[in-house]
Order: sequence, then structure tokens, then C-alpha cells
Amino acid sequence: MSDRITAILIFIFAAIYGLEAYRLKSGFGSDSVGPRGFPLILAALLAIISIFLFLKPEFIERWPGRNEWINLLSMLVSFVVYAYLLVPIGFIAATTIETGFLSQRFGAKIWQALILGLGSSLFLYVLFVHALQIPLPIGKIFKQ
Amino acid sequence: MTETLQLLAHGFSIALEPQNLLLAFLGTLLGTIIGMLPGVGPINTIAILIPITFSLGLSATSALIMFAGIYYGSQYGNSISSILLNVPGTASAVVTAIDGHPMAKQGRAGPALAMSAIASFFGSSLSIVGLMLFAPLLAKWAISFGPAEYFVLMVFALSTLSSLTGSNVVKALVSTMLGLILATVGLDPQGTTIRFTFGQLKLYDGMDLVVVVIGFFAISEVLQSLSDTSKGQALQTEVGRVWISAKEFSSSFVTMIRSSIIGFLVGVLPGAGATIGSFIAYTTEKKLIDKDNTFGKGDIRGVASPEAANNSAAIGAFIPLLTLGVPGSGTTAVMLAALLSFGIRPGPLLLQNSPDIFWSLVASMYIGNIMLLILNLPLVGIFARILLVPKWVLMPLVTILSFIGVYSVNNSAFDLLLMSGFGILGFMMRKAKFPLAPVILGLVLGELMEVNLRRALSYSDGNWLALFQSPITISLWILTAVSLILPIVISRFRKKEITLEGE
Repeated sequence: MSDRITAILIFIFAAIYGLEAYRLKSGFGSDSVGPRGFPLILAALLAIISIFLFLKPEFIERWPGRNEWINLLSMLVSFVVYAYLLVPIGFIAATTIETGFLSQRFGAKIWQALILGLGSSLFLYVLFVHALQIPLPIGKIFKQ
Repeated sequence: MTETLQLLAHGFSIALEPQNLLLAFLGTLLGTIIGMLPGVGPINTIAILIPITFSLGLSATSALIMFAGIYYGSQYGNSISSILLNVPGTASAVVTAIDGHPMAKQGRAGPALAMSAIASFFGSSLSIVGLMLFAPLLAKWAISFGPAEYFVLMVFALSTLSSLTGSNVVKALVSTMLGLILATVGLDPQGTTIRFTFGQLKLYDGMDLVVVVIGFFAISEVLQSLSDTSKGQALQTEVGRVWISAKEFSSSFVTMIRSSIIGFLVGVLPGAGATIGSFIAYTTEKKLIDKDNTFGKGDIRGVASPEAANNSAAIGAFIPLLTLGVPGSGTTAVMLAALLSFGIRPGPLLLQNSPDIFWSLVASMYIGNIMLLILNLPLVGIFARILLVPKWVLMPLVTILSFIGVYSVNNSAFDLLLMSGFGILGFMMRKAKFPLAPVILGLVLGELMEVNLRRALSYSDGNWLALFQSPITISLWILTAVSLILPIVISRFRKKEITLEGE
């Protein structure tokens, strides 16, 4: 993706943001600037900056290849899965899986990933919940 | 003068309380470690710790003592990896690697590390005195600032950071605008209109800074390090005796003084921090004293200069943060957010209304720097071993700690999704060379800017010329223009492109 395309995307974003801002209505007794004044200035400035970016693009040496994107995507999916699993299955189980998965992505062997996952989730749970008194979800399925 | 000493003595009495001593120690220890580890910096660490310190019920003073310790501690630690690994721990140690790593390769890692610790201590100590003397003066002067002055001051801070971070001003400005735009999400400052929430109830209070910062910095860093295929550099584990000779010390003495002063001045400037300070100090020294062309080949003065400067700048950066309420770098921006969440509003009135916070911070800095000197001279060999921790241990742990930090802000899993979204955005911005620090500064300053703009205009009955009327606003506008035009002029003369990432 070159800077030119980025510049166009930024310009479109600025336009949408500006339109959204323009449609905002002032509340009762608002000042002369109103809730949309500041956002409109930002939208205008961003649009102008995007034109500068379009006119003077930079060369980017290396954009991630296909395998890298798959790698990254798998990590992002794991974050999302973690967010959805955290409350139902609890911090310890979710974190064991997530840490194990991530460390394996970073090149750990299966047994290393397992030990790290289990060890760190237990350690962090005790540290945060018991030593620091910061609540972490224990897991809905264990409550019944 | 006696008044200053009295206030300082009172500050010491607070900083020496067992809990605060412990927090200063934890902060500096943690700072050294995270400063050393490439990929974990003070910005992520402080952001992760904000919700944690909050739920621990620490006082604002105690939290600030620890956060400050993390920041200036990281300026000690970051040189360890620069010297031993040729990979800077944080951006402000980029320059230290230029002479530090060649020294390590020549088997002089010990003197390089010792010089770095001593120069760091030297720079910090000079700078704390500066902080103590100049902060009250600046606060007195800034008390006359009205909303128009504040608004323009923030414009100036954003423009200097944009023009000094990264190699491309236009891209840095895009980052700045993104931060400001993110700040407009949620209820508007007058509390009458809901903006840009797309019906998401959870966004009514606005974007939580911790969520955005951890996403942008920590998560994108994890993604980046996965995508980074370059093989790690060989670690020089043979540290040897960490000491320098009297000759080495005296040869670097003037350099340390000069660089500390440069670092301090740069640090005080809103919009410039330790990275830029170390860079300017090093290039100045190179021009002044590099007669035999030894800089870049393992000259110990090339280690002393950036290390004195980045520590001195890190301390100096507390001046605009505390007396004006306008931070100058990513890290101080996060610290401002931390203070605001504790209900403390830094600004010219802070020193008047809650002098305890300021003076106990100053006192804790004296204490923290002595702790750091001890940690970084005899114990540096032990710290160096931390660099051997493999990526597959470090990166998952950083991720999980980020999750805990984000989750504990609101006990909400939705925030984890938001964080992941900012993570991928931050990653793409890194790849496309958009700097990230301006996003944070924009996000933190956005609301303050809008509030001050609207206040200034309601004082003037909607007359926009009010922003250009006082001598202070006019000079700040001129400085803003200069800061944006100067890099374009300089880049024509600059021989070698050096990129500075956010610190």
C-alpha cells in the first residue's frame, strides 16, 4: 500500500468525520463554537494534510508478505477469542490457552508453550487477585 | 532560598515514608528492566499500571513517584541493550549505540556501561536542581495564562512534537490529528451532545486512554515483533569490570555538563523529549570535540553525551508537565492522563495548591537516582542476563499483562476488542512510518484544547481574533510556524536521514 492510497483513505475519513460533525446539533444553551466547531476544524486540517501526503509520498521498503499477514491475523483472532472466552471460562483457563498459543507463534516448542502458559496464568492470577486484590474473572462455568 | 530548602525538606519527609521509598525503588527497578527490553517501554508500562495503581488505592503522590521512577529509570536501562546488543531499549538510547556498541565489541563493555550509568546520574542530578529552581518560576509566570494562551500553547506542543518525531512531518501531523479526533469521541466537554459513538453506549465517556495507549503501543509492538524477521544480534555477555578510569571520567566531564544542559533545555520545551535531547547533544559534541574522528568508533564521550542528555531531558520534561499541564512527549502525556485520573490537574496552580506533590516528587528523584546508580553500576551484569530471555517468553507475557491492564480499567471484555483494533491500526501505522507518540499527545490534549478554545471564544463573544491578540499567543503562533517550516529547511541540508521513533 503506497502513501498515495493512504492519503486518499485519510481524505475520505476526514470527509466522513467532517460530515458526521456537521450533522451534530448544538445542545440547549451551547456556546458559539458548539459541539461541532472543534471537530470541523480537525476534519478540515486533516483533509489539507492528506493532500500534502498525496503530493509528496514516501517510499516504503517492506510491507508484510502473505505468510506474515496470516500469522498476524491468527494472533488477532486469538485476541478476539480471548476477549470472548475470558468471562465464561475464567482468567486461568483463557490465559493458559492464549499464552501457550502466542509463545508457540513466537517459536516455542509445544511443551515450553504449555509450561509457560500454565505457569504464567497461575502466577499472574495469584499475584493480581490475591496479592494486589485486583479482581480477574474466575469463570462463569465454575460458579455453578 | 530558605523557603525552597524548607519545601524540599518537607518533600523528603514524604518521599522517605516507607511506602513511597518502596514505590520509588520498584519504579526505578522496573524502569531499568523495561527500559532495557526492546519493545517494552515506559509508555506501555505506565499505561498498564494506571488502572492497577488506581485499584490499589495509592495516593496521587505515591503513584507519581513510581511512574516518574519508571520514566527516568528507563533512561538508565535503555543504554544497556544499546551497548550490549546494538538494539536500543527505547528510542532515546538510539544514539548511545553508535559508540556504545563498538566499545562492547572491543571488549570495553564494562567501561561503556559504567560511563552510561555515571553520565545518567550526572545528567539527572543537574536536571533535578534545574527542575527545583525553574519550575516555580515558570508556574508563577504561567498563572497569567488565559484560555487563549493555553490553547495556542497546546497547538505549539503538538506542532513541535510532530516536527521533531519521525522523518516526515506530514505523517506526524496525520498522527496528531488522529489523536485529536479520537479525543472528540463521546460526550462533548459541555456535556450536551454525544459525538461519534455510533450508538455504542460504552463510548459515551470517550475513549479510555489506557485502552488506546496499550493497543497502539504494546499490542502493535507484539504484532510488529512477530512480523520482524530480522535475526537478533549477538549479545555481548562478557561485561567485565564495570568501572571507568579517572582519565576516562575527566575526559568526559565537560561533555557531560554540556550535554546535560542541552538535554534539560530540550526536555523543558513542550513537544520535545529525551530522544531529541540525546540526538542534539551527541551531534553537538561531535561537532565540538571530535577532532580525531573517533566518534562512532567507540569513543567513551559518545556514550557520556547522549546518556547525560536523555536523563536530563526526561527530568526536564516534568517542568512543562507539572507547571503548564502540557506534556511534551508520549511518556509525559501518559503521566498527565494518570494524574488526571487521580483527580490532579497539573498546571501553574499545582505548586501553590498542592506543593506536597511537587516537592515530594523532586525529593524522590534525588533518592531514585541514587538507587539507580547502585542498581546500574554493580548489578548491571545481572540485569544484562534479562536480555537473554527469549521472545517466546517475553512477548506473550507483555500481551497478557496488557490484557490485564486493559481489562481492569472497566472490567470489560469489550475494551479488549477495542484494544485489539487499535493494535492492528498501530501496527499498520508503524509499517507505513506514521509515528505513534503524537497520537497519544493528541488524545490527551484534545479535550483540554477544545475546552480552552471554547472558553476563549466565549470570553470574546465568538471573535476568533482573540486567539491572536496577546503577545504570548502571537509569539507562540510564530514559534509554531517556525517548528513546522524548520524541519523542511533542515532536511535539505541533512546528509544522513536518522529516524527517531516516539519515546
